[in-house]
Amino acid sequence: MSNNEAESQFDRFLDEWSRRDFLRGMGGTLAFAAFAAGGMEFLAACGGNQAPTTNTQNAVRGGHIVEGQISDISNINPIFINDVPSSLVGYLVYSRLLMADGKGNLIPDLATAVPKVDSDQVTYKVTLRDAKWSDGQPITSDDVVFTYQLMFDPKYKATTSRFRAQLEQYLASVTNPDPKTVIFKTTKPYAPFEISFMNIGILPKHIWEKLQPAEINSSPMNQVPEVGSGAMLPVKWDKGSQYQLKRNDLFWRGKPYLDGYVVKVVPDGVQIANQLKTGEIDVGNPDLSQWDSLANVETINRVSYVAPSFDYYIQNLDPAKTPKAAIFGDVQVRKALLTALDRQKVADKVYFGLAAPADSSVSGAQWVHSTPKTQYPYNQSKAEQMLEAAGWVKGADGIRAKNGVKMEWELRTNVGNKVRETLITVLADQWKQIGANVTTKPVQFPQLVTQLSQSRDFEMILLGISEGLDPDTTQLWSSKSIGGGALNGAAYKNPKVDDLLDQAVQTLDREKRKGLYQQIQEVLMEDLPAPLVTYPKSVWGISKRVKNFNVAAWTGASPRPWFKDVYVVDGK
Amino acid sequence: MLAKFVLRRALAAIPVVVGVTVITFFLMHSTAGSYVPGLALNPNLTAKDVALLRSQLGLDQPLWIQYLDWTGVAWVVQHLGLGSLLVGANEATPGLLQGSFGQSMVDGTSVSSQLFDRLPNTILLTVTAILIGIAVSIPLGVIGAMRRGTRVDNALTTVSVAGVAVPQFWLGLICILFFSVRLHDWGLPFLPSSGLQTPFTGGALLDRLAHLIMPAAVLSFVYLAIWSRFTRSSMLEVLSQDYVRTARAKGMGERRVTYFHALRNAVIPLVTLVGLELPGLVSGGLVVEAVFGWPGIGLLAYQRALAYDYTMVLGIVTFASILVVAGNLLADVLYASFDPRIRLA
Repeated sequence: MSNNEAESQFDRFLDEWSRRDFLRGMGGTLAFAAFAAGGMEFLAACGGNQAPTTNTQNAVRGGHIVEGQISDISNINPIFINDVPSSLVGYLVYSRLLMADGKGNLIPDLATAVPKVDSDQVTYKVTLRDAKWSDGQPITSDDVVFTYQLMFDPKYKATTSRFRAQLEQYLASVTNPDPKTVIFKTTKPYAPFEISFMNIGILPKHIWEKLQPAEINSSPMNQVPEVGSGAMLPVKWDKGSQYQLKRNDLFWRGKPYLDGYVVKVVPDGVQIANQLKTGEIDVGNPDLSQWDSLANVETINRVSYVAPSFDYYIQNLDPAKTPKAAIFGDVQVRKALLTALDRQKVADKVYFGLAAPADSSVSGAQWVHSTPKTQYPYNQSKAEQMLEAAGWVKGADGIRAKNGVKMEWELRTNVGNKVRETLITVLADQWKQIGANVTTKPVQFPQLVTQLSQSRDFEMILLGISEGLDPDTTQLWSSKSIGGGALNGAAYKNPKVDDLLDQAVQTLDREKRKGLYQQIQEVLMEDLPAPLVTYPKSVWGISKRVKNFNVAAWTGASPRPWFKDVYVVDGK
Repeated sequence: MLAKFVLRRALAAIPVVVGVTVITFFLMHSTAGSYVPGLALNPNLTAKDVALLRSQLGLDQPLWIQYLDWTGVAWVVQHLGLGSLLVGANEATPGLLQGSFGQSMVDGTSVSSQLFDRLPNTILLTVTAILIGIAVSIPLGVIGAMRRGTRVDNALTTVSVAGVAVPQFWLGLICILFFSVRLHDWGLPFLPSSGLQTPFTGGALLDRLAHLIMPAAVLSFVYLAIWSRFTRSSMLEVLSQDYVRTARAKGMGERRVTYFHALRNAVIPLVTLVGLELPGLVSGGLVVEAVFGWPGIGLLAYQRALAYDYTMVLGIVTFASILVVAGNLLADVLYASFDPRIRLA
């Protein structure tokens, strides 16, 4: 088959996929199943490059906003938070020491300034600003120390905070010499410390100290706390339906313009689009398939930007786990496979244009992102030549083989994520064009996680990762992170990468650290253990009556430093 | 006599409930691997974090111990001073035997509070749907029987077949598209497309009814289809009975014959059919709940099953199986009291 023919065949294939257009008209049966996988990814935060501006000149006081989310909150206590809606509400209710701005830079919250590490490289001195809990009590260093003890002190071992294992490893002590000062000492120089661990909401000691460590896990205050320190305070939680909040007049940033806020559970992204149209909700993340149809809605503004996340496929390189490692073990094959992918077209068709082709191993929303020298632009004939050169020759059935190993494998992703289910079919088809027989199989998310992080009995998995604020990717690429719950499912081992990753987390100088991550990106782009396909975008529909709702990189579903200034023009 | 019967049936129900929970428990665990409930792929979580969370949730214990802990047997054993036999150094928690469904593994909320908060929603939805179904299907069935073979009858037949054939989720989405989005586009009053009530301003009876009507109508469509067919054939059968002919022969008006003599006898078997839907009160509306974001029990069970929230799913399954057993028992007792020919034994 000539290159042209193959290409046009691929075109037709993609066109067929995008014929899902008819679903836009009828409400999207397809997306019906999408609610199943929704909300499972950790903090699918949003990224962007230009900071929107805040203008409160004509701001109106009063009124409320309804935000649509496709899953309910689960636990808004900062020491437990593990999903998007909970993080969203948790931020509205609790202030923290530091937070991130739209670009992912640290800015002070309850702290008066972002602390500078001492010359010993392990001591951080935080000064607190004047702020009050919603019951009028002052927020003091006692509250801060107490909050960290919950996650760190052996006394509170029965409290199941997901930060405990890491804090035990990295935090040596947290003390308060006076009510306005907190001193953190880390066990060793650890660059992610501020970003990862000072960005956690602070709890009121006078409320929570009354509970036993184990009682904290199941306290109703994890969902509806009595006392908060953020812009909004809980009113009620109608399970599975809505979470209602009211203005906190004692908020230290000043009284918010809005009287109330509701996070409403909406079944899926298509319904979010519908309800944006009818005005039942004011803001929300519509399904990608609905993006175009929202363009004609007069009452809605659309906002989109590259989110700090990526979709990537993991090739199992471990011969002890799969015989297919004989295919993926050859770096020339890995390069050929990536070269065979038309990622621009994938972004345009599968993501309805709401994604960018990936060019590195971290997303563009990360401050360490750089574009490595080596790139693999789509070139099908070159990919075939690379495979030929590597000794993979087509047999009579059109499938390549080498030393008796056929070039065929199974590509898995998680059930219910329609974009990914489409994506694996498209990837399989593109690889078929160059003589690889790829079958696809959607798997339940928990099984997929187990296969990736524990049993590692897979051939190839496509998944998405939502990046954390800190650029440390030890979990993804270090040889320490193979199995045992860590995410290096490819079993990628490169001592140079291990070394660079270790150095980078101990390098407190930002520029030096960035340099190290750039080196890592270069190496990963040469080795391609698990190549990135796309950087998906975050998409928002925002009612025109809502002003200053400045979602941007890192302030969309995560803490929103601009929230106080949000207002509605009609005051309703 | 009756008390003995009820007691015996209640005792017989215990192995059923235990069996259901054992199967659910081991099936869930056999497929989940080492997944920590509700935990997502998070590049900031280390293997250590995951291991610690697993041990804090007790997921690192052997399965049979986890099961005994959930049932409350482990708690009893520990309180008899034999704790180390079963759970080692771990603290056993009160379980089913102590009347506790435990806490959700995903969010730490009490399972019974989730269950009982959502139960009224599900019952409201299904009961409304059943009432709509009865109120509409009986007249339709009667009309179909009285005008057998006419265009009206054929039209009703078509609607009934459609009612059975059309998937609920599709019908739901079409309804949303028309009654919410299109009506809104045309500037007309429209129905809310999801939820129980309008945030902030809602909650009044009318607002709640507006939210209820679409899901209930969609859910009732299947009932309506089946029951109207059933009423029709039952009516046809009764209308050919001797006593109906006798009634007509006595010179009784056609209306009176139809509604007093025929219909009354025709709907008796329908009562059984409606009764069969009662266990579905809890689970019946899953698809409709999902489409309309109706916070009911079916939806909760489904979502938590996907997140491998073991305790929540077990709680719902146990609760539902107790309901089914109790429902069957109630039906048996009621039959016996209605029909003296049936004996409880």
